[in-house]
Amino acid sequence: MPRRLVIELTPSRGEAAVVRGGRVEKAHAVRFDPGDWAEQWPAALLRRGGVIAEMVRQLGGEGLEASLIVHSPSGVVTVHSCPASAGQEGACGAAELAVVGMAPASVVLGEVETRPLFRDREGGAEHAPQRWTLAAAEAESTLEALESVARGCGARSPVVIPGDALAAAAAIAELRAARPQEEASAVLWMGEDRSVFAAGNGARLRFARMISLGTESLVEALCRAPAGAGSAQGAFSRDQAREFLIRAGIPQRDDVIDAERGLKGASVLPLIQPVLQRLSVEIKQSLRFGLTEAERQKVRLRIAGPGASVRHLSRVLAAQALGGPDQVHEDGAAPAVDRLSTENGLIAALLEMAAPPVTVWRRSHREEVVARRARKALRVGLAAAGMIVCADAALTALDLAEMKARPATSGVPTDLPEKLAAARQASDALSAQVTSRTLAQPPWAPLLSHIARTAPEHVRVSGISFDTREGGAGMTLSGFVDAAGHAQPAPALLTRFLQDLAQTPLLGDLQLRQAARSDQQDASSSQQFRTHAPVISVPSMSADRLPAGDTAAAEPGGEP
Amino acid sequence: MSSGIVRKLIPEALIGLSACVGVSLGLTDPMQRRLDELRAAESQARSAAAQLDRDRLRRELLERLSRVEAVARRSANAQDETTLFAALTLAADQAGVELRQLQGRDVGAASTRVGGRTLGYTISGSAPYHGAVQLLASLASPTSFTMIESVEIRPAGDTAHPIVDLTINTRHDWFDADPARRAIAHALDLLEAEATP
Repeated sequence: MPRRLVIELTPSRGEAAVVRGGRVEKAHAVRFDPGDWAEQWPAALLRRGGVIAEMVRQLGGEGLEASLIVHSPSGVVTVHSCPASAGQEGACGAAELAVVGMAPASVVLGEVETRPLFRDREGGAEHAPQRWTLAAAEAESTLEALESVARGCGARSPVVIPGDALAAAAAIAELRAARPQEEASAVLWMGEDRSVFAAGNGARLRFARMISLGTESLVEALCRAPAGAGSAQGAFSRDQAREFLIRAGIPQRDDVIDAERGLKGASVLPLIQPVLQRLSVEIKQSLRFGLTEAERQKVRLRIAGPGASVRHLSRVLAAQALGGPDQVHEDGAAPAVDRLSTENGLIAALLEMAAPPVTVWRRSHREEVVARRARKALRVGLAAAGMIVCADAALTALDLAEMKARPATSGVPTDLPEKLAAARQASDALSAQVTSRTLAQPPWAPLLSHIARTAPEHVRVSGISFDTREGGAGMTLSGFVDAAGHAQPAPALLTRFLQDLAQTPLLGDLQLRQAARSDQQDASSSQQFRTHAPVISVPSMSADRLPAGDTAAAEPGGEP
Repeated sequence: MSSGIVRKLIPEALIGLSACVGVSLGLTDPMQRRLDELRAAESQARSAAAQLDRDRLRRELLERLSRVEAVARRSANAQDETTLFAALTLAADQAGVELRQLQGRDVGAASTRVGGRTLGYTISGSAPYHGAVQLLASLASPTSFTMIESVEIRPAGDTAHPIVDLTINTRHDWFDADPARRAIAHALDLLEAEATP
C-alpha cells in the first residue's frame, strides 16, 4: 500500500499524518491562534503555510499524495434530503441547488460535488423514504490557497475534503451502525470547532445538520475570566483549558478542579454553561422538528468525535436537551485522550472510510481532469499504436530474417533454376572450348594404309608428308616408278598408280606436281614423281558425342 | 472538451502519430517490401521448381556430367608434360616405333588459354611402316585431344629391313573440367535436396 499524507486544518490546529493502508505511521500537530481564521480568510491559511510545510517536512511527507481536511469558513456543506422517488440523479441535482443557495452570492464557488449518503429503507407517517445526499462546495479562492499550501508542503495531487462533510459522513455512519429496530438514535459528532448532529436509525435518517459549536467553544469559554473571580483564579490559557476538559470534562458544582488555585466546579460551570445551553438548544430544536414526541422520549444520544473525550458531556446534554440523563449511549463515551485528530478526530474518521465522502475542486478542475484523462487516453493510445507499430516492425524483421535464412536452413532450392543454368552454362562452355580446339583430324593412318594397299611393287615411295598448318590438310607423296620387267612403260604405271591412289574418298583432287625421267635408267622404265592432294578431314568426335571410356582401335597399316 | 484542451492535445497527438508513421514508413515498410519481394521470389521459385521435370533434369545433368568427365579423362594425359611424355613414349613403344627424339615445341599463344592449356611435341623416330601407321592411329584416337599437325615419312634401311623414318608434330589440349563438374554437382545436390522430404 502506498503511503499518503493526510492534513487537517482547523482554526486552532494543524495536524499531519503519514498513513499507509489505513494505519497512521507518524503524526504531528501544531496549535494555531484561531483569532484571524475567519476574518482574514484565506490569507490566514496562507500564513500558516510555512508551519504546515515544516510539519510535513518533519514527518518526511514530501512527495506523497495528500488529502487536506479543511474547516473552511468559505465552504458550504449540506446533507440534503429529497424523496427517494426522485432518483439518485434528481437527489444530487437538488442537493447541488441547495448548497449553491447556501453560499453567499459574493463567493465564487468551485465545483459543487455531491455524494449519495443514505437511502431510507422505510418511510414515516408523514414522509416517504428519503434520499440523503451530501453536497459541498468551496470558494475558488480557498481552493487556490489550499493548492498553494499543498505545493509548499511538497505534496502532490492534493485532494480537499470539507471538514463538515467528513463529520456529517462520520455521524451518519454512526447512525447506520445503530440497530434498525431502535426507534431513534441521535449522534452528535462533536468536532473542535463545528459539530454535526444527526438522528435516525439504521433504516431511516431523520435529519443531519451542522452546528457551529465544538470542543474549542468550551475551551474558549473556559478562557474567559469568571465573573467576580480574583487574580488567583485568573482565566485558563487555551492549553490549560484543553487540559482541563480532558482531565475533568464537565464537572459537578462541588468537584474540586484545582486545589492549588481553589477552583471548584461551581467556578467554571458558569463559564461553559452558555455553550452547553446553546448545544442543548440546538439538539432540542433539531429533535423537536425531526422526531415525533414518542421518538423524542426514547431517543438515545451518542457523542462521537473529539467531543466524546469530554467527560460527562453526553450525560449533561442528555439531561438538558432530552430531559433525562439516562438517555445516552454509555458505550459511545470515548476514553479521555489527548485530542489528536488521528485518535478520535476527522483523520481517524477518514481512515475508517473506504474513500472520502466528498471532495471539492476548483471550477477548472473538471476541465483539468478531462484534459488529464484525454491526455492519458491519448498517451495510452499512442503507446498502444507505438507498440503495435514496433511489434509489427519486429515481426516483419523476424519474418525477413527467417525468409533470408530459409534457403540455407530449410533446404528449399529456391535457386535451383539458377544452379541449373550455371551447370548448363559451365558444361556448354567446356563443350565450346573442346569444339573450338578440336579441329577436323586428317585420317593419317587410313591414308597410310591406303597408300600401302594401292602402291604396287614397282612404285617406290621416297617420302610422304602430311601437313595441316598451311590452309588445310594436304598430302605430298614422292617416289619413283620402276617399270623394268613390266610390259607397260613407267608413265602408264604411274598413271595407273595415281588412279588407284585417287580411288579413296580420303583424298581430294590428286595433282601430279612433278614427273621426270630418271637419269640412271631408261625413260620408259623409270619415272620420278611428286604428287599432292588435299586430304579430306574426318570430323573429330566432339566431347558431346564421345561415349564415356571410348577407345578406338588403331587401324592396322600395310607396307607401301 | 474545450478548445484549449484540444489545442494542447493536437500537437502531442501529431507528434506521436508522426513518430508512429515515421517508424512505420521508415522501418517497417522497407522491410515489408523486401519481405514481399523475397516471398514473391520464393513463390516464383517454388512455382518454377514445381514445374520442373526433375527426372528429366537429373538425366540431363548426369549426361552433362558424363560428358564433362569424358573430357576430363580425354585430356588427362595433357594435364602436365610429365604425364604427356609418358603417354607418348608408351604409344610409340606399343607401336614399335624407336624414338630418337621427343621434344616439346612452341605452340604460340595457345599454350596458356582460359580454361585449359596446349602443349606441342615433335616426335622423331624410326619404325616399320605399319608401326608408323599404328602410332598415327594411336595418336589420332578419340581417347585424347591430340591433333597431328604434320607428318614426314621417309624410307630408311634396306629392302630386307624396310623401315621408315618419321617425324610427327603434335598438339595436345588439356581442358579444365572442374568448374563444370562443380556446377553440375551443385545443381544435382539441390535437386536431391528438394526431392528429400
